[in-house]
Amino acid sequence: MGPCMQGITARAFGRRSAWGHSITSFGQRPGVERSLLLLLVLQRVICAMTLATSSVPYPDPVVLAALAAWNVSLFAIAGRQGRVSGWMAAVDIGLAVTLLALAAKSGQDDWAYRAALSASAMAGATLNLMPAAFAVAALAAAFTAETLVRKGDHVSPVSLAGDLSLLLVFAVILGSGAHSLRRYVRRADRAVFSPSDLMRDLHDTALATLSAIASGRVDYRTEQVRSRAARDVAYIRRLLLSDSADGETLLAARLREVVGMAELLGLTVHWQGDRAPSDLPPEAVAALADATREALNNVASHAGTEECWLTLIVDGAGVTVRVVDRGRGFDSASRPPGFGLRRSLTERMAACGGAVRVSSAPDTGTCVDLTWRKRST
Amino acid sequence: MAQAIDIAVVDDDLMLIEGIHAWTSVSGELRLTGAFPTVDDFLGSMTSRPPVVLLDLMLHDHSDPEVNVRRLAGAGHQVLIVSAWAEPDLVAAAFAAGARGCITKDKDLAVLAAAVRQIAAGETVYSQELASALLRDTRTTRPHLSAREREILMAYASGMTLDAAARHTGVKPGTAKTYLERVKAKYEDIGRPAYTKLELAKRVLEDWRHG
Repeated sequence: MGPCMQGITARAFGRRSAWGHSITSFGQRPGVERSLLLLLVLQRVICAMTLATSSVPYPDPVVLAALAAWNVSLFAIAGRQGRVSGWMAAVDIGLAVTLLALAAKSGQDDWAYRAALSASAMAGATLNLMPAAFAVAALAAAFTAETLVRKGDHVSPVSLAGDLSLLLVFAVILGSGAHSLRRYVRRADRAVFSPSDLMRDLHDTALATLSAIASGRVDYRTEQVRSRAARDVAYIRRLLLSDSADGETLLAARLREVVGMAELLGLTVHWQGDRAPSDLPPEAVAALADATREALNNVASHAGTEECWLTLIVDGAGVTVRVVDRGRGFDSASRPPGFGLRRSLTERMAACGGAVRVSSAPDTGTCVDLTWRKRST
Repeated sequence: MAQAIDIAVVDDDLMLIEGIHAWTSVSGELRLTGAFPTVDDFLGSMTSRPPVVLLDLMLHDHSDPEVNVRRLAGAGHQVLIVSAWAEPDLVAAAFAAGARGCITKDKDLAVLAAAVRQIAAGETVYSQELASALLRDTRTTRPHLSAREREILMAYASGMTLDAAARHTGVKPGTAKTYLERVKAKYEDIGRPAYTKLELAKRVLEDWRHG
């Protein structure tokens, strides 16, 4: 469960930022962000070297010093954090716009334009789509204004369009590259169920039980061994159901964790049904997993049975986690709807487009349906 | 207590056979009259054969489970599939061939006894395994099931009893039962024609080989 736990913990403690990919995106790996960082540094170094060795005059020494200081500290901080934060991209864009404003006066905009290109590249690589589009638009507007002020009536529309499109191209190329890199890593992250995890789990469960019986040390007829073997069977059945070649999805990983906890409470959970879909929003996965945990806890503490069924039903419209027991049950007419699940969980499910349905009657068990539906917008 | 029900086991899993034997000797609900490694051994046995037969899906002689069920059902037996892993297509094929139910081997023997009682009474055991196998039937010959029929099967597949399934899908228990009977009838319908042609040929071949 190692890698998947790390992913979940990282997500659980992650803060949501309106700006950056880096904090929010699940599956973010320091490796990916550092590679992107290196790419951005390289782009700037090449830019600066090209300008420095060309015939283009240097900007004002104060401006040059400020530029150098900013870039050094930018990459020092980003390097330590392992990523570029939203505020860094914002400052970088601000600096480029300032340079363009100065260039409008001095009449020399080569350095300012290269700074704008670099800022655009960084925005594309590190920001979400909307902020990145906003950043490119701001840079393009500043550059257009600067060109108009500097050249007045002698503006060549063709060369202006060329320069502007280059600004866009830098952001798009780095943005799409970063996007596919992150998506690739995220996909790799979902495949958390590695063969070594499988070996370890089997070793801790079925193999341990069978070895104990084979050694003759324990009497396999005792209730304790029997219930342990039943749990092992349930576990192996889950393995047979989950297509491990394709990796385990986030929902499956979370449910596996929840079921594992319930088994510690002495519950035998028969997990069955469809494969968990991989395209659920994280808040839906979290709500489904937490509600499932609560439903299983209720079985363990109220149903008067040690056996229950957890079924995953997936169709085009969404996913249902169904928890069924054949225990005591209760009279659903005399209890408010949603009894058995805390109101907060019912509300949380509703907030992410889900619903909770509980049906029960005395002595016929309880069925809890936790359903999440794709929004039809 | 009701009279003990005689059962025979066609299985090569000694642990299951020993388990049933040990259990029947104390419980008195079932009586194990014999255990046979193959359907041939069972049908060829001279002893009087009990009506209820527990059949493993996978036998060591690699015989086709569908053919095994058909031969046993054809000889007038009520077949309960007992298997470690209920491969959906195989279970569905066995059901179409006339099996009355299917349970996995991890169930305790009281569950097995309850299933045997139902089958001996002429009923079909819509266990969770059978229902989920029918829902996952991928064979080209599978019958078309209505949305309601699938819903009831899904309720069974997710561990509900008849009462719970009816309650959860908002129908009366009697209606839920009717849906299940319709599912059974549909499977029997697709099972039938195969018996006359393909199966007959297989039987002739089998008899010729062993004759």
